[in-house]
Amino acid sequence: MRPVAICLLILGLGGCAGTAGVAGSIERDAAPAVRESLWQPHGCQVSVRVIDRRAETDKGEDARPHTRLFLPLIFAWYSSKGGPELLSSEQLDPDPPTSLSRLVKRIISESGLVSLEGPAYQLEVELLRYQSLSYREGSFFLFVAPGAAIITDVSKSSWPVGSALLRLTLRDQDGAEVAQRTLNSGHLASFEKSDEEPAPPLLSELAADALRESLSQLPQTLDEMLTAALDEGLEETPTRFVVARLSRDRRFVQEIEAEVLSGRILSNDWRARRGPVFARPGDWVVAPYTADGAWLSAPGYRALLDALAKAGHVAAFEENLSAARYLATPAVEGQK
Amino acid sequence: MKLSFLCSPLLLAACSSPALLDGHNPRALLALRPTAPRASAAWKGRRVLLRVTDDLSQAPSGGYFDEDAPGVTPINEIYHLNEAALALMESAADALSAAGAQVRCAYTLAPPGDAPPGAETIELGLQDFELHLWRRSGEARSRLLGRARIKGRRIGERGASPFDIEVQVNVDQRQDALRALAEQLLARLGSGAPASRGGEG
Repeated sequence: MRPVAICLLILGLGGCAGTAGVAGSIERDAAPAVRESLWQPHGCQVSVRVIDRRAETDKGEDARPHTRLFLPLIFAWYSSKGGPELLSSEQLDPDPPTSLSRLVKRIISESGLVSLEGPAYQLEVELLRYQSLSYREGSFFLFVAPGAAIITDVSKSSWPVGSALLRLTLRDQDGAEVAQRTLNSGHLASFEKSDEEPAPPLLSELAADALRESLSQLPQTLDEMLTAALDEGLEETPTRFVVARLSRDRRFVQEIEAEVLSGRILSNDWRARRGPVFARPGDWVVAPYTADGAWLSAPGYRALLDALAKAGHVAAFEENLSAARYLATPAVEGQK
Repeated sequence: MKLSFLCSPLLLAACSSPALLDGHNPRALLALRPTAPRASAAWKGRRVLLRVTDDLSQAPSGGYFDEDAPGVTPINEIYHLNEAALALMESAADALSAAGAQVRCAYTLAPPGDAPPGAETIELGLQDFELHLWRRSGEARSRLLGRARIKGRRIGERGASPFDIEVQVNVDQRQDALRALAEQLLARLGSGAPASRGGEG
């Protein structure tokens, strides 16, 4: 076989590698666990519209390894490549807007966040990023001599990363913007996984992990947006409240649930953050949501602080205007 | 002559920086002069409310590059800074407080706390962000290399004025790169810089 034919054969085989894979599905792979009936329904209706804007913001859309070294000599060619490589969007989901739309509607329905009566709002969900990237480096060497050829084509992928970015815009009946939030998540493979060549299933899992994290924050984020839009106050003074602090990476929150009047602690748990960031990592604050997870309006939060002050708790706004720092608990017999 | 002609594109290609994202260029940041701390004296006595409106930063935020590590590429590890826009806002709040400003932060859409009367609101939208650690061959300590592009608005008594600013830093690993980025941003805003992009080292 002539050297050129050998070369073409090897390049052809190399080109086939890595194209196989099972198509993913946002609706199936990125569905978060939703705690049903966590929220008291807002008196409004919410329709969902998903817009695919990945082409406008995805820096990885044209990602491919760049040539770092190219040495064309008379009898030998050597090139070295390195750079980001994107998993094709078809492998993540053949139709992301439709799949995401179905999933968002399901999450809102399961959360019991809205009633089917009252003013109508539209939740515009812009899909700005949903991708898996890895770093691919490789080298190609070709040596040709009369009657013989040596070809090596070696490449390796590493550092797989999945990321998801959604922008939520709540619009009223006239289409005017009422509130906007961005949900941005990135997931890196663990060190053990990144030692090996990342397979397409792992890569699509990382993108789904990132999107699942964003979507797990959707109900409470939408709750905050609707609360700001409707400016609903607390109907009655809560008997329980939450003191919370965020982990250093803001992915987790330690929540201490306590009684307002007695200060008695009812629970103390670390859990994944399920809504907007409300304080600096490590700061103990009175959480801006109820013990049931419902977002408090500004008047509702101030009413809670008044109730806490009357019961002997000490909390005050400092630098953070979104949550008051919790400073002291009332003295309770038998509890420090 | 012929050999050098053939080698010129080769040398140019060899200088391209390994990066995990298009747009990241740690080698260009490494070439910056070391960034000195900047006291934001222009903000002394002012009242400021900080708020994040957008965060479009992408994972990974950056990598650890070790020139002595084996392999074709010096990338040794990758990192992602979760909620980079909020981290930058908090660093800006620290820098403003250190400069003698009265600063407040709004994390939520409708915060229940009251902003100081007459406070200027600064809205921050993080458009692009990278933060790397780079150890040069033979050196004991690494350099922290950061870049952020922030689009936002300053809302004061005289109305709202938009800005679009890119800041870059190159600091020792013992320094706080986010604080250095925030100081660069505040220096640009405090000096009444026009709403334009441009590197600042």
